[in-house]
Amino acid sequence: MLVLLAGIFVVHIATVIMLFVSTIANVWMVGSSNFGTISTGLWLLCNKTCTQLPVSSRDEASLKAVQAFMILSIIFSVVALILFIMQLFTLEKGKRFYMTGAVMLVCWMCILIAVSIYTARFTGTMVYSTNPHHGYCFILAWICFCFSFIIGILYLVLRKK
Amino acid sequence: LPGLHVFAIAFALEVSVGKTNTVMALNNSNVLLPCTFISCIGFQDLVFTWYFNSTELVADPAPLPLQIYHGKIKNEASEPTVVWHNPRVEFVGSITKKDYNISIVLNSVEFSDAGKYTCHVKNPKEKNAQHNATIFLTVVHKMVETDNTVTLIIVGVVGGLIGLLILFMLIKRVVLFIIKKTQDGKKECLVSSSGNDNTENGLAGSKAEQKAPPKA
Repeated sequence: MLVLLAGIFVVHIATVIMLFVSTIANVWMVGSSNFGTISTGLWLLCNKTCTQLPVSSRDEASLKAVQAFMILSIIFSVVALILFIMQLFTLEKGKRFYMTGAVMLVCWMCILIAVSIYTARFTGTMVYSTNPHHGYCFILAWICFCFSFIIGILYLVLRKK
Repeated sequence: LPGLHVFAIAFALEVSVGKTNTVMALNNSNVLLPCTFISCIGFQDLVFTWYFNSTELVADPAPLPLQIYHGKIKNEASEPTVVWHNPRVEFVGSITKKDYNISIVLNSVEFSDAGKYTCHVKNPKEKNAQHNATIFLTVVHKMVETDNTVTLIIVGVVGGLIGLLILFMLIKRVVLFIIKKTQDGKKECLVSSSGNDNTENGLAGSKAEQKAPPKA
């Protein structure tokens, strides 16, 4: 049981780190153009140097929603981590990590909303480039989506020894 | 001229335009271009000039910088005097404090006024040491307010969740309180009807009461 708990803790930390990388690095979509490879993310469009991401007026609200919900998911995953460490010391034996599990599931919901909006709106075409394909940040976000769900459910099921 | 630059640092005449070297101004307004200089040794017959290098006009060869203000200061105790100035430029600096201020104000800026402004100072007392600093001016149609929808969404969701949590805790407490109250009512009835078992572990007085009836 202790090994399982340690394993979940490691996966949780990995999720937090992956969320940070995915939100901060600007490699959600990658494409090729006359100037080389261009990558776009949530914040900037990067070639060798980075400039402001060009976004059409009808996509502006969607982009802001994706940015907001990715930041919210980071906040909730860090809060869940801190809550887990606190509950590890204050919870009585035999009880479940309800709070941590609940916060982790809220984090899962935020990631779900963010990546769904991004996949629906921004993965069709990419500005200034041909042959666009998904970058590693997009894939990391979906991996975090799966991990956060599993971790949330496990926190709700496990008992403290 | 690199040699002169090293000379200038050695004698510590330094010109600065403040923390940022970019200024944004609204079309048709007056903009302040700040510039201050310091000199460790002091100065005598100091000459300062403001140059303008337009970034709007792109020509080959590049246009020479335009002089827009030329002034001189006799010493630390006297005020700066103007030698020549462009009629739209106004001098607003002063030498009375420790930091020598030679800022100017440009009246009614237009879009063609955007570019590089250089504040150049020459001090004969430090063997003609020179130094300069540049400000970049941009002129905009209107000032755009920063957009903060992302912040609003985040604060809204976090605040909403905290509110829901507090509401949930309150409701839980109220419901438990009500349940406890109704159950307490039922317990009282049980205690008064049976009368002996529950109070034996309690106060000593009850035990004395228990003992009294058998003696009688």
